[in-house]
Amino acid sequence: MSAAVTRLRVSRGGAGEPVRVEEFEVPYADGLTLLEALIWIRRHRDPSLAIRFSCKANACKECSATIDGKPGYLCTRRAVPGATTTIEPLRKPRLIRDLVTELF
Amino acid sequence: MHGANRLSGNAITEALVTGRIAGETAAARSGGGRADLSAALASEWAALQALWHPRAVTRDEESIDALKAELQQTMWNDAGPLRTGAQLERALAAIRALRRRAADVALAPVVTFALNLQEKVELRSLLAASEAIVLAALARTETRGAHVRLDFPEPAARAVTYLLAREGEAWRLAERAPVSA
Repeated sequence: MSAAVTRLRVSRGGAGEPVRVEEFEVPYADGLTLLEALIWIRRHRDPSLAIRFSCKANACKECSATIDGKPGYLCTRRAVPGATTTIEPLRKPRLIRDLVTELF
Repeated sequence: MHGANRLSGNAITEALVTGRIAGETAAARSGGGRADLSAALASEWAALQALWHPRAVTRDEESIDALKAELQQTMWNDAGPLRTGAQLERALAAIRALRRRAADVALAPVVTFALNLQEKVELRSLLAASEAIVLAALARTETRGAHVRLDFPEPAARAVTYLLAREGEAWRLAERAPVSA
């Protein structure tokens, strides 16, 4: 049996550009958060992925994103082994690039 | 200043005290006039371009965030609150190797939300701070307050203050006068 993975479908692109959706497979470990999975992608797959975060601990709200269609914090949502999670930027604030928007 | 373990509550105090000293020192050295900063800005910008783009690439040659994680692992393993000279020597070698490796990483030009460029500036500072911490901990062959050396479990007979001065990329460690009782 291969090691467990989780899959992320991530919106890419800057303001005014067409959105590209890229899919990444990330090694799963117990407790893995979506933010940690995105950080893994930046470290091991694509350092150009733009994400915004600060505290990693449910205090600062900087990692807000649209997760499977609903707004949430990437640092508190757990990745699910074997499942695919869709991550898009917040919809209301102006997009800067990839998952990063203006701060409300 | 903090040994191996910055005690809770010291961070704000440190920021306020050193911030005031830095501001007062800068003001005293400015001569009171409004300096023309354009030459300094141009030279700083050129230095940053050289740091970020030693070669033209379309993709970062290495993830700077991954190098940062390596540094954090080194400091966690070998420069934590309880450490020995052997651990600190190992940390020092790892930090210096990482600094050489990081210096040469060419980054892709990014215009919006340039996290990679910011990370390379941060990593340079993290490496400098880590090296200073390890050099100071190596020099202090005693255990005193929050500074613990498992290979030197007792305080030395006299308390000594050390001063680290930066010369280019290198630190110079100087012993200062013993702290008077």
